[in-house]
Amino acid sequence: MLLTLRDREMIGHSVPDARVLGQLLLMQSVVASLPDTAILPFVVQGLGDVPGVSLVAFQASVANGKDSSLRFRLTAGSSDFGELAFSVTDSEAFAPYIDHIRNFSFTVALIMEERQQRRVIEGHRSLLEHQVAERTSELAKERDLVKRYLDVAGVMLMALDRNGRITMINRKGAQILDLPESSLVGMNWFEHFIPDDEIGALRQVFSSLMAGKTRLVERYENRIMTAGGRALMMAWNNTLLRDETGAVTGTLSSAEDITARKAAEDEIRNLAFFDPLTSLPNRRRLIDRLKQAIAARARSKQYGALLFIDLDHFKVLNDTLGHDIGDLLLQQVGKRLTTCVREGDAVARLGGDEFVVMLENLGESLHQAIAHTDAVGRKILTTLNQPYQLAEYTYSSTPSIGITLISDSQGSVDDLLKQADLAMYQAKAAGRDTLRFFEPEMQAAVAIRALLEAALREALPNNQFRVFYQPQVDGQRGLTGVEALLRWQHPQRGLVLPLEFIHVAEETGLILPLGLWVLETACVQLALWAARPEMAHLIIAVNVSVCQLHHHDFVDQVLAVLERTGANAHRLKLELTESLLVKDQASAIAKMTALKTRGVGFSLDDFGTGYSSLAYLKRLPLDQLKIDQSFVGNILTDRHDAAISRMIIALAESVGLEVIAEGVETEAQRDFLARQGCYAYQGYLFSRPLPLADFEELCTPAVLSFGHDDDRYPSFAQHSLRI
Amino acid sequence: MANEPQMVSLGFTQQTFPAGVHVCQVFASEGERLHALLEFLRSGLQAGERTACFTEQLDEAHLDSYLAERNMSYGQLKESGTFSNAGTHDVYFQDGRFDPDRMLAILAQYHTDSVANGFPAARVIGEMTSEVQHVPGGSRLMEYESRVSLLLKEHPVTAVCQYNARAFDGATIMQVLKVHPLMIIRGTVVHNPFYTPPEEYLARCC
Repeated sequence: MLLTLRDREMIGHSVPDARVLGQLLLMQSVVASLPDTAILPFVVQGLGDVPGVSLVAFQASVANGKDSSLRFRLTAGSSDFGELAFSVTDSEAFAPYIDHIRNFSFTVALIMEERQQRRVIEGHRSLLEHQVAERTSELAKERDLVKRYLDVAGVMLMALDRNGRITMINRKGAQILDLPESSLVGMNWFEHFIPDDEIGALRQVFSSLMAGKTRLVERYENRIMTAGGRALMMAWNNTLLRDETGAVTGTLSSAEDITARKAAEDEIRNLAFFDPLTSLPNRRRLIDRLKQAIAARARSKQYGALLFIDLDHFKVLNDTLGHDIGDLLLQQVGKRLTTCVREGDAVARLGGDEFVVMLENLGESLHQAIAHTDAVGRKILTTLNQPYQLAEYTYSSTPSIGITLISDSQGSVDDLLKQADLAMYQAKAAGRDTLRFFEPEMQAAVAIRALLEAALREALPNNQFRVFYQPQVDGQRGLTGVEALLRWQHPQRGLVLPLEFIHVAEETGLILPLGLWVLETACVQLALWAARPEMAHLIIAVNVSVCQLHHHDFVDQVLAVLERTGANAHRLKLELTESLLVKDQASAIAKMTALKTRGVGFSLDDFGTGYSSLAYLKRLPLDQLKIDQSFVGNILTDRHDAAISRMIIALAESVGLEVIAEGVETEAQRDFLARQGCYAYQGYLFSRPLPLADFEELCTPAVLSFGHDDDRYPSFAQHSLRI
Repeated sequence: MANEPQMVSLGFTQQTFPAGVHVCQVFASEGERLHALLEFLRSGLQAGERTACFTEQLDEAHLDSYLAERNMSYGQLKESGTFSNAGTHDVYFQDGRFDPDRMLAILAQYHTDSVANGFPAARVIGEMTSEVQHVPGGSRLMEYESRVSLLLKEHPVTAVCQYNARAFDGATIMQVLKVHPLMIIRGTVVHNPFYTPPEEYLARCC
């Protein structure tokens, strides 16, 4: 039967059977549990129970032609599944269910649509999963590939995080560090592989680098300690790792174990710069050192010296006992030479039996430089003269030494070597087993010095030293004291001033007994003068050398002298120079303080010539500043010297010290000083340094009374000048 | 047979039913199947009923712990004969064929034995597998189900038949609906409006 739309409208008001509606509801529930393929057969069969329906069919495509069926399109959303077609035999019975079936069809369509959507989503998800799996697999392959590349790399590759922990390391790195890769990842690089003495510094640099406070050092070399306890030298090439925002997240480094290469380089360097027989620097190395020494001399003005040493008759030894024995001698000579020099000096073997010693930092004084070099040369002579044990042979050898000084006037490295070589031939010509300076005047100076030193050693036991006394006067020209001055009464040369011999005394250590002798002599005089009313008030100033002050026994020696002689410590004034106080100032202050508590006074000599500073004056337990004669001499003609003198006087006044000017030779100088506030003087205006007898005669009441009126002091001065 | 049918719980709800109801569950997931299985067994065993289970997939360890949590001993229940289980294949397709008469006889005997052994009631839950569609006699499945409804009037064994919605075609599922008076839908037992009484069903279809 053909059921038209109109028919359905007409019968649409009939009451449906509850059982049929229940079936539709149940089908709806069951449909949700069925797989897609089961839904339509289930529905088609279930709807066959609806009253009036003889057949239900599903048409996958929508039929356009008219037929007797009622069709319900299974449509939902964008999908179109087809139609359920009903063959209705009893339209009246069927009519009450039309809307329910339409709703049911729609619900079924919804379920199918939802399933289809889910299938699409599932398909996408599967596709996505597949793609993810594929990509993961590709990444894994890439990672494996990268890992393989990393592992085949011949260098260590390592990444550190911001805290210095290892986040990646390749196989080579694991081999180098003596641990498996799995153990290394997570370990702190600095704690485990950097030598203890470098951990702190390197950690700090790394932290600064991570904080952006330090620039990355891209290439460097350092030492590491492996887990197996091996010390390796590594050459690094570093890069910063950053995240996508640009923030630093760590470092990526490649490193090469260059331990073997370094050792080879050292070996090559040794071969290039060191003599394989003696292990001493060779000619090439010496030339480098000489160039440096010449450059250093230009900066520091300190002298240096080159000693060219040739073994006498070495060829005879070689020819008679063979080269092996000759080599043994060369080795032993090399060792002995190194014991004759200071740590910074150089000993080199030029070849054959020729050695060179280079001395540096010999001071700015030519005198000192010559003396020191001469001393080293003689030490070498003595040392190399000792017998050698060469295998079963006992052998004696002597050297000839040529010396030249490294100074501004010298030329190139070649010139220096030639000079030393020439001097060495002079030593050979002089009979061997000796040394010669290249410069004749130096050689002469050395000879004179040698004579001086020998004579000096004899002078003290032979009672050749004298103490002269130079008066010191006050503003009214009253005699207040004297400065004890050392003189050497040489049997041939006559009176020798300290300037000529004091440096030799200092270099040879004679200064200590000499200084003590002066002190003792002065104190004996103090004790004697104490009994003479006209001299009892006098203070004797005694110069103290640097060697004396820094002698550990200095305080006890002074006190012992005072006790031994019975001198009044309050009449003794020790004169120190500024330079003397530069070294170990604390110790000097302690010694001065100890003596000052016993009454000994202190005067700072030559103030203004060296290291004058207010800080000194505050710390030192001084009584007096002495204006150096170099200022006083030009005080009227040189504004600079006048200014310094004024400054010293003002300074002394400000810190409560006395001030005395030495070298006062004219009334004008004295007047100038007096105008500035200096009222104590020493100098030829008043008297030259006098032998004891002359000075004592000067101090006799008869003489002094001569000057008791206003012109007393000029008379005193004129009298002194005559001596 | 007792005149007043004993009321039993199927385990899914508080609702009780006269012993001997024939229920079908069309399940779409393993979770659904297992939930129904466990609840049905538990309620029966707790009520002291003789309980049988025909399924290929019974995790005995799981059932043991499940029952132990409810103060029941799986071992004791099995040993006493209160609980028994067997595989679907072994029970339904003995000799490689599906024989409704034999199955109905087993069911009747099961009930008779249960009564004889003093059980207050008997119940069985079985999963019909899709194998039935491929074995000789399988085409008589609906006849069998319909006759079970008839049998249960005399031997009121409470029976639940589980069908996997994904193992049978839609038409078969519709037929299954027509031969079970009750259905478990989303955990609820409902009367099945498709149910066709056995007398009518057998007359029309068989």
